[in-house]
Amino acid sequence: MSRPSTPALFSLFLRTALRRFGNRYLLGMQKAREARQARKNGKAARGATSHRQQGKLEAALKAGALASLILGFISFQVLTAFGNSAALARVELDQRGEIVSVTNYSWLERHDRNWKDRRSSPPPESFPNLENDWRAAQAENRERLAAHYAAHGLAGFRPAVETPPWQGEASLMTETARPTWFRAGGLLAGMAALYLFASGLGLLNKNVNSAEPSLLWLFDFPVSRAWLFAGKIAEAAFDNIGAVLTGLVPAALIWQAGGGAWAVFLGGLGFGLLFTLNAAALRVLAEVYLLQKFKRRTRGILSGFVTILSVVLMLTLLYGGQSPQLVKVIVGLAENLPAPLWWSPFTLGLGTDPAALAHPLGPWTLGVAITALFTTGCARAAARLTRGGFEPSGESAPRPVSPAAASPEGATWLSPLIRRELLRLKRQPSALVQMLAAPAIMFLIQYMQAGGHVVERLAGNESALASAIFGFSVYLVITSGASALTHEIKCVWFVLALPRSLADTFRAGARLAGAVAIGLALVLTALSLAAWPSLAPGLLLRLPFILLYLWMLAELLRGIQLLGLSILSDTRVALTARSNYLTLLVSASAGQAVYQGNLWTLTVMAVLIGMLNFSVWQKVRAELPYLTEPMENPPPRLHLMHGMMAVFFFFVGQTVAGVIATAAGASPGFALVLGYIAGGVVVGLLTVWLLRRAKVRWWPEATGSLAQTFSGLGLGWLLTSLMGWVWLMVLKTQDTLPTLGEVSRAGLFLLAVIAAPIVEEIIFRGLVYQGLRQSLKPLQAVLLSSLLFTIVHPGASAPCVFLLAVVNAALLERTGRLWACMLVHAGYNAVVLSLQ
Amino acid sequence: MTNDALPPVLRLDHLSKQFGEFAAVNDLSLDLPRGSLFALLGPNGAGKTTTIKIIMGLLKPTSGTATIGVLDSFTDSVKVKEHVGYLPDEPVFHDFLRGRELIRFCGEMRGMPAALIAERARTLSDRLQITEALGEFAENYSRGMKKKLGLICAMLHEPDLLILDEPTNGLDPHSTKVLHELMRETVAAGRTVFFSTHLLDQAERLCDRAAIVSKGSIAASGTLAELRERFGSDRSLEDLFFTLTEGAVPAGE
Repeated sequence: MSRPSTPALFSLFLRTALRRFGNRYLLGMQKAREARQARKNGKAARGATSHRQQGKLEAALKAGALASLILGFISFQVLTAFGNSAALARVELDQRGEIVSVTNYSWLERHDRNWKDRRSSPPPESFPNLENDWRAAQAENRERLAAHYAAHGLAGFRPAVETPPWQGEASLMTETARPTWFRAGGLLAGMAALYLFASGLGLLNKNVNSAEPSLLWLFDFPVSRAWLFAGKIAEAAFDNIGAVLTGLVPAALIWQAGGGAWAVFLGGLGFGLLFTLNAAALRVLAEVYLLQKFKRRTRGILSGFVTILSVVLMLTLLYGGQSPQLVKVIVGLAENLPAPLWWSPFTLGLGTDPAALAHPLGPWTLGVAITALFTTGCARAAARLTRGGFEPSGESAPRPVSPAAASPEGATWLSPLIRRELLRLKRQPSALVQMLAAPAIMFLIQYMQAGGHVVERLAGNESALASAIFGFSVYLVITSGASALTHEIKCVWFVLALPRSLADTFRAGARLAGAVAIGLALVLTALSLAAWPSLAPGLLLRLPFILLYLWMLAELLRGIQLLGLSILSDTRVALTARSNYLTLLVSASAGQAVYQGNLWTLTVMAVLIGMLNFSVWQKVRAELPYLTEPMENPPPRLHLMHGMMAVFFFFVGQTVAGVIATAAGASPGFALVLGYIAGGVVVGLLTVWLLRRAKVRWWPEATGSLAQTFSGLGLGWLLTSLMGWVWLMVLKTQDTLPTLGEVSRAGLFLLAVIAAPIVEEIIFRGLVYQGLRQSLKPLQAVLLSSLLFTIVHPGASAPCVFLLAVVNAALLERTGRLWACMLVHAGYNAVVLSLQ
Repeated sequence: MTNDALPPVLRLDHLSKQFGEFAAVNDLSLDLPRGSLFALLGPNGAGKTTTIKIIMGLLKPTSGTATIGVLDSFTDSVKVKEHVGYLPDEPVFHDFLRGRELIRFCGEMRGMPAALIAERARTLSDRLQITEALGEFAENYSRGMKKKLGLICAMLHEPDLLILDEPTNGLDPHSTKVLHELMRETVAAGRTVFFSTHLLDQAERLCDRAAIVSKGSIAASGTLAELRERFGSDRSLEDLFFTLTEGAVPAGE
């Protein structure tokens, strides 16, 4: 057997790599084209779900955006952490050599300054500690530097920038500022962290558990392992081609150091390429190493940790909205990226200080260091590969059976589904790690960022504590869902061959996760109560809602994840980014309600989650039979989800238009009317255009006679108006009548008697009620739709609104005429308005 | 013909399945009487697995229906599974479960008492010589062992209709022999076996009825005797196969 020549081999690898790279995007485009074609051929596009392979381009773009955000965040933290010290400060001197200002470069503190500059008002109440700390640190530093100046004069300082590339004041650093070699080391460490993180992301993308099988396959060919490795690196580099952009950082450094255009371009490109190749080498090395060194089980744990890291970062950003420290992080990020990479005093000093340039550990050394890292990395990996046999660990034929494993099983009182889930939890370490370690990591991150403030805040604040307990527990639900589903779908044939509906199987797992989350929430609450008994009233008020939310969210989030499944092949499954965002969004809004702790808000959220849960599972049940079907779609049908979407868009449209109108200077009354109309238009578009496009019939068919309709209409109008009159009397005696404000009488009349009946009847009777009726008996559907109608109205009018909803839903059920409902609604509104 | 009074255990009525432009199954009709041992023959890519997936309710036919007894395989997919056992070509099992636990899970999902599950699993696993390995995690099994485990899961509840997709792929000679015995015994007990294969000698030795599929439609079907009668009594099934699937890619394995 002849061996390929080296150039031929290398060209083969490169061509394969290019082809794979190109095919990824071609495939994405092909899928998109097919989807368009299918739509054109009259096959309704699936709403929130698709088990078809998603357009990879879209997924890649999203992943790239997320990765760059996280990367920026980390690099920013690392760079500034090394760049900042109390000794490193900017001193401004006036003509006479007096100190004008001293600025600490700690970016959090800098942010505080920005915050102060921007708002003339004092910083919000929640910032007092940091603000005081900052003031104290600044004052202390100023004193110290003043003393330093008094003792040494200007000779005690050295310039950070000899000829600053930006106009402005000269910056001086004290002699005791961290030495150049220390900062160079810091930058190197920062870059190394970037590498590691990038390769971690690459691995995450690939899933550690299925580490590069093609490598194993390639060993079958008569090619030396060193060359194989080189080829794989070239190939892997294409997987992370955006990494070349990281060359921007060194390019900026070279520019600051006064390098010419060519030096900047070539240097940046060179660094970027080096970075890319290095990251690829690290990835291949990691794959080989992981495959060789660790058993599947351990790889599972590692994979779990990498997953956690990314999800935690995302969640921290999301949930952190309630922590002032995180607000700072986010605002700081928006303000300073990518500026910190250029402006960080650390990189500035390093790049522009002639001493640093001349120093053997200056930025040019960085290139040498990276090259060395790359070379040693490659050399180590190549050595590992070329040294003797390559045996992946733990993949071999069955191990000898231990007597314990073959022993008879235990009790049979648990349902098979639940027992299987429990067994999986026990044996799948990555899932366990995800479920149990994640809350701890989340807390740790918060703690690291805000120090003692987290404990301080939690101790004194029942809202923060309750939402933290909820956040930890709901996180468990989310991660367990993602891991359970990917696990389940891998062998869906197996579950499908059993006479049990898939929905039952998935729900059993969700309920188990819900029960575990409830247990965790109870334990956390008990611990909190033991630590801070004074918080008992606030916590215990929220506890029933927290538990209820967890129970319902366990099912709801599993349903959303199911709808967002993307089945790539018989054994590979991915959760779409969309389903991840949705689960986070829903749980975050529930967390917000827990944080507020207002009884009405909590109840409203409970009803909303319940309805969402119902709507999602109604859709899941319709979609599940098509789970393994790549071509066919379920027949178009009205679902409660359409109604829920209409409700959501109605309120969002209303709010957004109202806010815009108010900002444009419209009177509140006009803004209200405009917002309502805009919301109505959005809903109109949704129902008429979207539902028609999806070929969903929603306009009810008349069933009763006209006489029956009119008698029902009259009776309903009398009943609701009477109730409205009585309730107004009650409110008047209690003097709790809501005031109308400056809303004009005509505008209000237009709104209440014409616009509201049309829009609201279409949403709540036309879509919500009929959607519910698809899977509920009339009485249940009437009650549920009326409950939803009630909670979206002000609490004061609840009884009347509830009655109106019941009457109209019953009228629609009996007569099938939506216009009759609109008339009753208009009549009731007219009566109440004229009485008011 | 056996049991003409009863409805066929499996009826495929003008079944078609399109994947975009490509017709994997094209107007395929077939009646399978109770108690037959039926082979679906065809070269690779003829549409055998697609047909089986439609019968199992994993795919929805573009047109036509697949009926098991009186139940539609897609709309009644849960109820159908009470009467059917299924072994796919490449069975994949849940990670982190041992063979024994998977069998027990299957049995309990079908509402069988633990003692019955243990007894039947014991009989089947002894015959297939896999009892020793049942305590091991199923994901560590070789391909043949996965097939055996899948077979035990499929036969555990003694289904009326046993559907096997390329059952002998990856099996050693001994297990192949046992599998053939099991298939014959199933039929002798009055139940039905439907299997797909591209191995002609296997089909010729085993089945009493066969259909030859080519490019998604049935080229010929009936009892072996009928097939021979129609195409000349001296011809072997192999000759027949190559005549009917001419132009299609020959079975290469």
